[in-house]
Amino acid sequence: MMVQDIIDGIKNKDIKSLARAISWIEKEREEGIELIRNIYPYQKEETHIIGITGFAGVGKSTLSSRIIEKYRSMGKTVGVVAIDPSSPFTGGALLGDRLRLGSLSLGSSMWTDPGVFYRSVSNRGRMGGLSRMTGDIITIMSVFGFDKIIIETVGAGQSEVDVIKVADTSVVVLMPGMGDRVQFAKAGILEIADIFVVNKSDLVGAERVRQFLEEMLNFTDYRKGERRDGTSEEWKIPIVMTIGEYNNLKGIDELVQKIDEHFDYLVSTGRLKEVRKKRAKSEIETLVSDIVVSLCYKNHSVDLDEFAKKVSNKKIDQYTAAEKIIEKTMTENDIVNLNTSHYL
Amino acid sequence: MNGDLKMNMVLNRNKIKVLVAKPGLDGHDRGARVLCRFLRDSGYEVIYTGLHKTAEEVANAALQEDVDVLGMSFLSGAHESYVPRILDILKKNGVDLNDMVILVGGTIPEEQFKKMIDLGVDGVFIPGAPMDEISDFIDLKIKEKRDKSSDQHYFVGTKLIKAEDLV
Amino acid sequence: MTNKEKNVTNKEGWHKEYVKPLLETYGERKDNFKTLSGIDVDRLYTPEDIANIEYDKDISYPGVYPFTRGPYPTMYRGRIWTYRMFSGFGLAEDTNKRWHMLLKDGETGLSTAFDFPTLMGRDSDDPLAMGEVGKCGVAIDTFEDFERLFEGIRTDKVSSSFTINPPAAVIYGMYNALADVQGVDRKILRGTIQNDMLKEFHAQNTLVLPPRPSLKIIGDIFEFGVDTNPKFNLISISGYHIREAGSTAVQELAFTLADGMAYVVLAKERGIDLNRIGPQLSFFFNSHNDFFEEIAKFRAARRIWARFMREEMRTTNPEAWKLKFHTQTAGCSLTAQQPLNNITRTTIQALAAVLGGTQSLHTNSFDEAWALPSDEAARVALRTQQIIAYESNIANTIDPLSGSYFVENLTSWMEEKALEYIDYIKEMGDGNILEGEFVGIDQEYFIKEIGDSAYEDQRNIEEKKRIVVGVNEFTLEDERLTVPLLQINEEELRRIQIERIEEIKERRDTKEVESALEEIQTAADEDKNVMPPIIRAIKALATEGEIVGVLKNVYGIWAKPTLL
Repeated sequence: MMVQDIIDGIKNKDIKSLARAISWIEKEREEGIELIRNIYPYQKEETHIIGITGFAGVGKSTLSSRIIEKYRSMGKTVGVVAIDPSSPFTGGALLGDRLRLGSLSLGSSMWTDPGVFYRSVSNRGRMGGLSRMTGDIITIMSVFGFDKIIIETVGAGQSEVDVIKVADTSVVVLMPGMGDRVQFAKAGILEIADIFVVNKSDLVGAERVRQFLEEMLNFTDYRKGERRDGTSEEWKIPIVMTIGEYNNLKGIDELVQKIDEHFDYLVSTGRLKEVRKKRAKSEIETLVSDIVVSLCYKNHSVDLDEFAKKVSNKKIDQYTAAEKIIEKTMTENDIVNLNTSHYL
Repeated sequence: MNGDLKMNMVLNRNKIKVLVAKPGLDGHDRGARVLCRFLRDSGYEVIYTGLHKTAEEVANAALQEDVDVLGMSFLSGAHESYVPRILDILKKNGVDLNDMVILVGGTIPEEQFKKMIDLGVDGVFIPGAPMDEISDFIDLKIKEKRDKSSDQHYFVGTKLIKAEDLV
Repeated sequence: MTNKEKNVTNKEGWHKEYVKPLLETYGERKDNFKTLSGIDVDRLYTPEDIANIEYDKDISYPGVYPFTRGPYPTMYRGRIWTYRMFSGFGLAEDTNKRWHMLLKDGETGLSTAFDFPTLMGRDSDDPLAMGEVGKCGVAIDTFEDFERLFEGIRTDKVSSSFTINPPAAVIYGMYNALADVQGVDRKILRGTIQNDMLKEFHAQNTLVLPPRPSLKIIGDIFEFGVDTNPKFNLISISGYHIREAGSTAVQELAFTLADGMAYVVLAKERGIDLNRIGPQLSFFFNSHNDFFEEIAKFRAARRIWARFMREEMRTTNPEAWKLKFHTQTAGCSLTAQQPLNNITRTTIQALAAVLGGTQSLHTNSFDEAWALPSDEAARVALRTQQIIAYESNIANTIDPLSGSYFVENLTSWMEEKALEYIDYIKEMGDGNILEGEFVGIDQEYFIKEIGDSAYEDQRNIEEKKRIVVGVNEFTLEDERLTVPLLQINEEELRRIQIERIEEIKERRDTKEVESALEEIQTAADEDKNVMPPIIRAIKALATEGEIVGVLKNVYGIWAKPTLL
């Protein structure tokens, strides 16, 4: 299919075109970059991007399935990007989040609801590339026109944290018995929360997790200086206690209400523009560094091994080596008519 | 299959997305789950639908996920009803079956192999099919479809055959 | 050097003097020999291997605790096991016809296969039933279907078994209602309802209600059945499906008995006299290809159960100590390739079941890797049992393999390994095995254990560590499969069933139906026994889907999918 067909398709709300466009991004096809170049002006300002993260096993997928159902009952359309890790050894992945999506055998189906578009993607061992991919998918989904876009990812490390940073509202999900404070702090997922959720809150220890969060919010500076929108004194980070299981639902309405309140807050205070500008800045930064790196190493006249040999034999120092590589790349390449797609 | 060729394919497998589906009320998922695990370990990206999915749910998942391969498992005989319905919904939504590899596995009587292929299925696998055969066929078929090869192969039961050998 | 007889007094000496020199020259076929479940098998078993087994305490006599040799003093000399062929397809009248054929052929007990919608508590007009009505079993929507199923069959003459789980209360209620219509005293009804939800959560996936409500309904059936149908098996605690899902023989043994123990704890918590319900609990095992392993499994099962019921649960009725079981040969062992070979596999598996002392037996038909059995294939399967019973003469003496160094050693080994699993499950529930089951289900312990074994088994086949004749060895180049298949026109069946439902809904007393359904809801809400109002609703011609629907409304649905 041609890029123009897909663009028209997306504008006409054709699911097949949307699905294919995302595949181009996922598979790092050149068409994907061309597509983004063409559709970026049509992104909808009012699209609310929600990030949901937490350690494996906290019930994120089930929870986001309940959030989707709630939004549908409110008449909102939802696009979902569910990210799962791939094996570092084989590159294979089992994308298991869709499994939790409510289906007809359980009552009503989110699988066939025309207001829901669900896409499972793997992190494919990407590092910085993961947030770039997610950002591009969000761009496409925003042009398609979903009211809400949910990004769901395992909060396992820095790259996942970066992914969630593209969201307007970040929800961090915890559960009782999931390790100690040090672990939470190490993963760096606490700093990014706009909303905390203690899921499976019927389990023993739920109250303890809440107390821990409250203490942390009271005693640290998370609400003052360091948050990315710089406004935390105005937004009081809520802690919502939930249960995502159908037979024992709890706190879903409250959670959705808090998520929406956060967006209203961003909009009414004008902070949304700052958040989106930060997202754009980080996207540009990543791209520039990706391109430069790629330029240097895809350049056949640069023999990295040769430089490595020289440095390890103490012939030259590593700073000089790096300078030489960049110098050589810059002088030998046509920097003026750079075609990014060759380097991504 | 030629060793170099196979290696080359293996390297690209993590760009291949497979949806393993269990349409219908049958809960026998041993085969489906073993296959998911095998495909993941072989480098593919695998999505499993879980149990008790309707035809519409399976087709919609394949559509939204834009999968390269749709594999459906039946141990209930319900393939006769589900396969045509699922493929029909896909086509109605603009999916070109020349663009997606369609596999059916399970208790499929041999006399229905041709009927399945005529519906648009590329491979029919019976219980106990070696998983290597399934992944080799996926690799081959993706290549054939991508290259719009004039020499298309099908897998029926235990055999890889050419279109003209289909009876 | 001349050949001289070497003096050997023990296994080690034999190995040193006789085996080792030979191994150095020739070696053996494989580096190690294992059972199908991966248990190491020694070259030879001798009295040394059973030194710590005491005959009186561990083996004993048939009909005598701990029943290792069998639950009855005469076993098959008294009566051949029950030929119980699982069958059902199409409309009730189609299955009824097959049943009459099987009874005429010498079958001695009925066993019902329901279609998937019925198994899941959904009517034929449910959107999810599309494509499945009458396909894999018989479609039952209302009591009138059930009456058609038993046309010409007396409930006081034949024992009937029903493979039904989430809607077990409905089908069990229908059987009681049928006895009422036939004028048969409910007290003399014989038969079995499977009614085993734990194994559904572990392996078989026929899931409707969440775990705790599922067990609550089972408790209701126990309570009702102990008084109403004292000769009826109120549950068939099933390892069959656990094995089919890919478990090893040890896991099958362990998980099945753990499930059984959990049901006994459930009965106790419900205040039911264990001496009374004990004899109404039955078991259902798989019989796979590894001949001796299967026999040892059956023997170990009886011993573990007897010890549990007597020593741990302190029951005093010897009938409550006896584990009685039905066996089905392993469906998962059937091959689609060279299907006639399946007759041989089934024969070996059936022999193992009989030598293991089964009370009833289903032998699979050779065509079942392709579709439901044809008449001819079903008949060959039944004849297999009759040949074993009457031509092989193995039913002439009881437990003939007892005393085999290998079989006794393996029996004890399996008992020991199973108890390790059982202890672990109990630990998960802080000493309460029923709670341990709930924790294990929640944490997907059983599913993961079984899934790992299934994956390993498949890898073993692919790597030819396990040979499957006709599949990974001894294959045919250009195999054509000419098995005559049973044809089912599902669309037509569904149309008929939907018409029947519509017609009944027009005709029945709507007020009585609504009131009966309300009574079920109230009973469920108030934690009372749901059986009496269910029977009332059945007689008022409420559909199965309507009755199960009420339970779903009260208890919610099970919605926890498992990835791997």
